[in-house]
Amino acid sequence: MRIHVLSRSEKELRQTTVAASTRNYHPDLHPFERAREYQRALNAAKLERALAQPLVTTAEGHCDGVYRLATHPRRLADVASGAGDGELRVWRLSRGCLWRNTQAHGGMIVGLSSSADGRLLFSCSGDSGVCAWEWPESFGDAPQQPSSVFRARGSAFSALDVALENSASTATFATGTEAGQLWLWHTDRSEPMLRLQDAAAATEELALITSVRFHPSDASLLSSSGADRRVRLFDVRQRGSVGNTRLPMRANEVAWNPMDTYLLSVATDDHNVYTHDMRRLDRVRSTQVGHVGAVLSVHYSPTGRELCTGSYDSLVRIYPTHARQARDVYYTRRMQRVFAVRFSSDAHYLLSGSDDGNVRVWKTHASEPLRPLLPRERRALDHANALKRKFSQVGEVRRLLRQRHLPRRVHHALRQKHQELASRQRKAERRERHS
Amino acid sequence: MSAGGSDADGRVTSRVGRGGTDDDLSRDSSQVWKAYARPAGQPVPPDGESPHPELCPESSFRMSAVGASIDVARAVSDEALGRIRHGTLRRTLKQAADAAREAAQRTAATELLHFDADRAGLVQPESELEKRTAHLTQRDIVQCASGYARRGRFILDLESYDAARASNAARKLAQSSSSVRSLQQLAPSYRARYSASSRVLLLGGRHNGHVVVLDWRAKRLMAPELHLGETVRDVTMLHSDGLFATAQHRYVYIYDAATGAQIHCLREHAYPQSLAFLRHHLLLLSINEAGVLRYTDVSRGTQAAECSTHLGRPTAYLAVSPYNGVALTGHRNGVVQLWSPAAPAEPLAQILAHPSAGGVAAVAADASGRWVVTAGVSDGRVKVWDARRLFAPLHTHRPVGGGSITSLDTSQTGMLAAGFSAAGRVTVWRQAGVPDEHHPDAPHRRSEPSSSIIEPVWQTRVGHGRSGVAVCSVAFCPYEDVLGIGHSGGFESCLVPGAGASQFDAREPNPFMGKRQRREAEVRALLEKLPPESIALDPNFIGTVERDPRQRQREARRRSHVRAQGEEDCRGAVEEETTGGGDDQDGAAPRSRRQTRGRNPIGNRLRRRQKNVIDDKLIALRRRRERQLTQREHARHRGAGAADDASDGDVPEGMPRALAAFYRHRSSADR
Repeated sequence: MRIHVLSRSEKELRQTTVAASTRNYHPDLHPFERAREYQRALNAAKLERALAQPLVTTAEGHCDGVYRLATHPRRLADVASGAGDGELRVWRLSRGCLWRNTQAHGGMIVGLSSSADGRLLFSCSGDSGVCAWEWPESFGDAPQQPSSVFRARGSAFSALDVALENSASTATFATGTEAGQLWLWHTDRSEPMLRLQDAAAATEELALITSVRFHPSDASLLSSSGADRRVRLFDVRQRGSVGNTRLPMRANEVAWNPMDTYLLSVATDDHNVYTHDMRRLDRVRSTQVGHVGAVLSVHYSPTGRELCTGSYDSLVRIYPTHARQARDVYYTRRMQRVFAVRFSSDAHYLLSGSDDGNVRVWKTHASEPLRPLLPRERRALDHANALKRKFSQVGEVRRLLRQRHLPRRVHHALRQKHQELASRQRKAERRERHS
Repeated sequence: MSAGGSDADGRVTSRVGRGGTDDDLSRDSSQVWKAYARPAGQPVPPDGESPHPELCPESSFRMSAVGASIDVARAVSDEALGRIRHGTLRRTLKQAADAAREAAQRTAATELLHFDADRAGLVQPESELEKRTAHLTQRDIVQCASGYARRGRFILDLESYDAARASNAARKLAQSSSSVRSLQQLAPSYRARYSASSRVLLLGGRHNGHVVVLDWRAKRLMAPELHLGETVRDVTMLHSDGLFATAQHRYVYIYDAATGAQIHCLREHAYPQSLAFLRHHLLLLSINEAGVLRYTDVSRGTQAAECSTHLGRPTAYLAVSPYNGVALTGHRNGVVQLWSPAAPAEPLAQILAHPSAGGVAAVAADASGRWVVTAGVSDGRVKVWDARRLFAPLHTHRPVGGGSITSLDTSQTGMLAAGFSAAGRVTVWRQAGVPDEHHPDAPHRRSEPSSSIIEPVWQTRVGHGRSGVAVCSVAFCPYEDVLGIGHSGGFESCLVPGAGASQFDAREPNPFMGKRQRREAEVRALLEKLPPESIALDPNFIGTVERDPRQRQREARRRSHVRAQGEEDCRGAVEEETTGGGDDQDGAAPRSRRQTRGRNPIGNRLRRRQKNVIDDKLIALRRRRERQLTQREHARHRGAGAADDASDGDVPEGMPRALAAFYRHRSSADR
């Protein structure tokens, strides 16, 4: 008879860390696995909401609303903001201080963008044209005069963007005009290289261009949004428009997805953001809903996974790229209508410029700590996130993850909007049924 | 169906009252299922649904919309995924299914590492003559055991316990009760319990109020011995090694295990008979002499639920299923009730287990959630029930020898121990005493309940062979090959090779937790305390899609009706064409639900007339059936060995258990 009784090396178990790392995944030793995981997910969701503090800092000082924002492509903390009174401010947000303020233009700044090498900052105003400024390297060293000025002749400018590729000392940029034309410039020349126009549209139909964006991977493609509700695609090689589509309402800003570069999102006045595929411009790929005011600004995260929007209802919302509903919504009591939003180049922060003259810095993930994490903390956070994902559709976890407190007026407006939409749908259905 | 209420067909109360014999149960299982087990409807559904879907309490746990389902791996097959037209949904589901499959494969791949076969205890006969292992004495086993294992063998002789205290206690008892009891009857019978970490052994003397908290490995008293001077009917450890509860004459008390100080008196638990503790829910249960089951949340001190069994003083000690937390109570009329605090009005299920006189003596449920074991007071039988199908016992065995069973316990490896009332007899069976061919997971399981004498793995007599020794409780020690036996003469700890899990998990309570780990575990237990609503027959109901239980029941009934009819109709049509084509054709024709005994000439005539009617539904069914048969034939001719196996619903040989679900599942999807 062979007999063996369970035996262990107690010395090993008591004196080493073996006992603390021994695992046995047999299900009998882990009863109520699903219920316990759910409970952990619930705790994680509660903790997430308890620790959510999205606002990092506020840069104050503009005398008018902040209408345009630009980030430095290399230096994470350098941000430029352009106000309605033509003042241009450059901030170093890591120190919380202002590096330069200049009265750049006489009128409202309608375009602000940095060159790809981070040497020049272009600002644009309606009548006075485009000014190119040196990005300041340190406090107070910058000149009060622009390095070069490009005048608008014949038509006032209404939008600006700088190409993402440039040579050592020069840059290409595009301006949109109030007459619905797109002018392509080079820093070496005082006159525009090219004037693009939608050939198909009659001249009187062409309206103000609200924004223009270079394609992230092909410098000869540009997209523009117009006050005439149209989004247009221009090709420099063909010297004209290659496609357009009409939206339900005025298009305020257009943004390319930096990773899936065929995706194009447009912020419109009807409270929604529409994402199109540039190969099939007439078809809407996805719609981002939730705002109760005109969406004024939209910007993609550098990872292409998320997009943020700023709206006339004074909220900032963050959407996963293909989601319909917002992942999170940010607001403060004093923040007014948000005219410009930008992701920082590391995708960890979000900038918003609003009518109250402040630039606000937000965390992209409201509850994640900003300090570097220990590997153990990182693992715990990953585990909590995985659990939340797993139970994101279940009971209380779902409610905690989705529910956000909103200002009273927004809450009421949202409810009213839902009622209106439901009523409209009901009416349409009845009409269909009885026709 | 509580005893107070009545079922729709009113059979419940009459059957329970009449006390049908055991043979009744085995003869007409479908009727008993309807009458006694709560879930009316079909037995285990074939399409991989949870066995007791309609029993899950209404709660906020359910998923309210179809999103990324948690049960994807079980619920969606590849073919079903292919049929989903919504691209994003299909991708999400596929990702989830792949992740689940990969997890199962990884678990299967590392199964060997976690099951430490070299370390696990065993008794292996080496020749035909040595086939019986029951006769092995403790001396034989101790000789083969290491120094570590030998610590599990000790005897506490508590019979010569302080006579003065004992007589005091006896006098008090005699005063308090009207009946005259002799000292002989008041011999201390000890209840033994181990803590979840297996570090602490808790002993409570029933008649003398003697409570011992022992670190049994070190043979060290953790707290001074308590001499409570009143009846201690039951004891149990709470969630940590630092607290324990006793069911005393009038109330339940909670004590500190480090100092022996009384911490709480739970007055709402009046006249408790038996105790249990749910360590994940932090719920202390007691059943009192009126048969009322009370749940108290020990972290908040509030009462979570109160369940009335309406069956008077329980005859069996309360048992809690470690798998799903359901409490099992055994009663004088032979009924075993299954209770959850989520549904306090009625038991989740009740089984008429031992209808003979005396009722149920002991109940136990095993850690895998497969078996419920019951023992009768006077019928001398042990019945093993498949926990998913409580309408008939899986196996009934009748242990030979004297005395009736007083206590049952199951070990982590599925061993079953029974303590007897005479001669200190203790018997241990492997696999809950179920023969292999009746194992629920056996590929060719015999469907009819069996009854035979099962050879025990091991048996002994405790108390030095004295005749008057009655075993009061048996308890397996977790993670060790140790069986603790409390009896009227004290306590005996025996070695039973192969009883404990060889490998522990550092994240669960285990004997080698350090001080810091213990502290952290306590905080974690409080943070992750499960709500009482999470107790249901199927503990994995959380995250499943909520459906109206009544509609579900209706659908199941209709489905089974249609299936039965279809098979009946097809049988006639297909029989002459194929020979043994389908594997589900071999049983007798299922009887109609409405059919009763005796002849039914009118019904027969109607049925005969009905045979000639051309029915669209019937034709469609026949066609479908033929198509299925031809497809199966094709598959067989193609000679895909493994695929064929899978389509027959069998798991190939040598496949790890963790992957079995996929095979079963694929087969159900094919059907």
